[in-house]
Amino acid sequence: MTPEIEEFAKTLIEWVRDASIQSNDMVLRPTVDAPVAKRWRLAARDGTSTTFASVVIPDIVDNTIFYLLQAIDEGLLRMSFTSSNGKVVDLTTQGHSELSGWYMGSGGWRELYSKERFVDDCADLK
Amino acid sequence: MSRNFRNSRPTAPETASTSPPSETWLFAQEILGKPIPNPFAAQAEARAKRAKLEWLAEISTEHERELKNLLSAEAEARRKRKQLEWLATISTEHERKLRNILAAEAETRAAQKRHERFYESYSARLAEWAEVDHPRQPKGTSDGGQWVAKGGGGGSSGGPGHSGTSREPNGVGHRSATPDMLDLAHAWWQTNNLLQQSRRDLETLPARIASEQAKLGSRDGHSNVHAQNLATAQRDLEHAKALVPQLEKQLHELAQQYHDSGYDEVPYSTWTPGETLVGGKGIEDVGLAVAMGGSPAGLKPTGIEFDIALAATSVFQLGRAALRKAATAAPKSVASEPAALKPYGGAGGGHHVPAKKAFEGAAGYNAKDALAIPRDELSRLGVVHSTVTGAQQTLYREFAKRGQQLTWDAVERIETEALVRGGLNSDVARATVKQAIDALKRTGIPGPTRIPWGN
Repeated sequence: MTPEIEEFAKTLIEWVRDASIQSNDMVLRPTVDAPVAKRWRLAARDGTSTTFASVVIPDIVDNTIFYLLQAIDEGLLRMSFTSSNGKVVDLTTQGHSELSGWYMGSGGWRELYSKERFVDDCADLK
Repeated sequence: MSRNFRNSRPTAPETASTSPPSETWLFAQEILGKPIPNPFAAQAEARAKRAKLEWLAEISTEHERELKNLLSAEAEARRKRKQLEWLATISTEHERKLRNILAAEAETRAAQKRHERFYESYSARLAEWAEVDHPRQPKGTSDGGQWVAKGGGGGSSGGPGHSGTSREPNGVGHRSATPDMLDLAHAWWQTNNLLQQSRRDLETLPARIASEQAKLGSRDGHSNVHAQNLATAQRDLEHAKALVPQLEKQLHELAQQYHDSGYDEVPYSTWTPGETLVGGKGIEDVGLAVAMGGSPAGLKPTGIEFDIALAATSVFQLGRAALRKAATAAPKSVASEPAALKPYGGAGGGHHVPAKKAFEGAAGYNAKDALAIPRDELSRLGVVHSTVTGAQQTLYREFAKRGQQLTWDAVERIETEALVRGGLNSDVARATVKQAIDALKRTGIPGPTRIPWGN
C-alpha cells in the first residue's frame, strides 16, 4: 500500500466511518432531541426488532453518506469524479462545499434520485 | 386514605398471581409488617418443578405424557408467536396486536425487576433492623402491629395517622427516602418550573405580541414570519393564562401530599454527574436533587428524570403534555450559554456557524479560521450534524426563492433554526449563532456575499 492510499484510508475511517458511528451512537442517547432520535426511540418502544431495523437502516446509511460528502465538502477527502461524458470534476471545488446539504436537504438528492425509503426531517421547513 | 394504598389490590396473596406485585403493594406489606414474597423463589420453584417432571418422565408414562403435552404447548406458542411476528410485518392489525403483547411482556419484566430490587433492598434493611429498638403494639389490640415509642406500650406520639407511612412514628432517626417520596418531590419540582415559566410568559408575552403586531404592519418583507411569531405568542399567552391556576393547585396538592406522607423531615442527597453533592430536606430541595442527579452538570434535563416524575401519574392533574413543557422550560435560565466555538482549522473540525459558503470571497474571511462547533461539542450537546446541514440547505434555498439579498439578520435566523432542528436547545442556538456572527463582524466582514445553495 502506498503512503497516499494509506492516508486516504485513515482519512476515510476517521472522518466517515468513525464519525458516522459516533454520531449514530449519540442519537441513541435518551436526551437527544433531534427528529431522528425521536423516531428511533418511538421505533424502539413500539416496534419489533424488524420494524426498528427498518427505521434505522436508511437513517444510518444517510448519515454515513452525509459524513462522506461532508469530508469532501471540507476538503478533507479531495476526490474527483469522472462523468459519463469523460469530464473530470473536483468534487470539493466544483461542488461548492454544498454536497452534503444537497444530499440531506429537503428536495435534495434523496428525493430526486432514490428509489428506496428515506425520511425528510426538514420537509416542514419549506 | 394514604396514597400508598391507593392501588387497591386483591387480598389474596399476590404470589398466586402470574404478574409480579406492584411496588406500592410491596411497600404496603412492609409497612404492615407482613413478609415480602421472594421474587426469586417463584422462578426457582418453577425450575425445580420442571426438572422434577423431566426426571419423572423417564420412569413414568403418565409424566412422560404430561411433559409431551407441555413441550407441545410450548412449541405451539412459539409457532404462533413467530407467525404473529411475520404477520406484523405486513398487517397493521397484527402489528398492533404484537405491540400490545410486547408492551405487556416488557411491563411484566419491569415489574419483576422492581420486585427483585425492592426485595433485595428490603432484605438488606431487615438484616440491619434490630427489633428490640422498634417495639410494636401487641397483636390483638386495636393498634396491633403498629410501632410504638421505645419503652412505651402504646403511648406513641406519632399517632395512628402516621402509622401507615412511617416506620418510625416520631419522625426521628434514620428514615430513608422512598421512590414514592422522590416521585412526589420531582413532580413538585417540575410543576414549579412550569409555573414559573408560565408566570414569566404572562409578564413578557403581551410586549412581544405588541412588537410582532408592529412589525407585521411595517411591511419589511418578513410578514409571514411575523404572522407566525404573533400567532405563537398569542397561543402561548392563552395557554399560560389557563395553566397558571391549574399549576398552582397542583403544586399545593403535591406539597400537601408530601407533608401528609411524613416526608418533610426525611433527608435525601445525591451526586450530580458533575460530582456536586445536592440535596437536603423538604420538597423543594429533594425535588431539585432528583432533577440534578439525572442531569449532566445540572444544566439540561436528560429525559430520564422526567420519566421518574411521570411515574407518579396518580398525582398529576395536568398530564404529560404540561410536564413535558416543564421539563424543557425549566433549564432555560441556565442553558443560554453558547456552545463552545473554535476555529474550524483546529483539531475539532465540526459545523461552520454560519455556513462558510455565505462568505466566500468576502475580504478577511478564511474558512479555516472561521468559528465552528467542534465535533465533540456537537456530540456533547446532542446535535445531529446531518440534520443541521439539511436544514441549512432547505432554509437557504427557500430564502433564495424570495429574490432578496441575504442579510446578517436572515443568516442569524436561518442558522439558529437549523441548529434547533438538529436538536440544540433554542436559547443555546441563539446565543451560539449570535456569538459567531459577532466574531465575523469584528473581523470587518461587511456581510454575506451569497446565498448558500442559492443556485
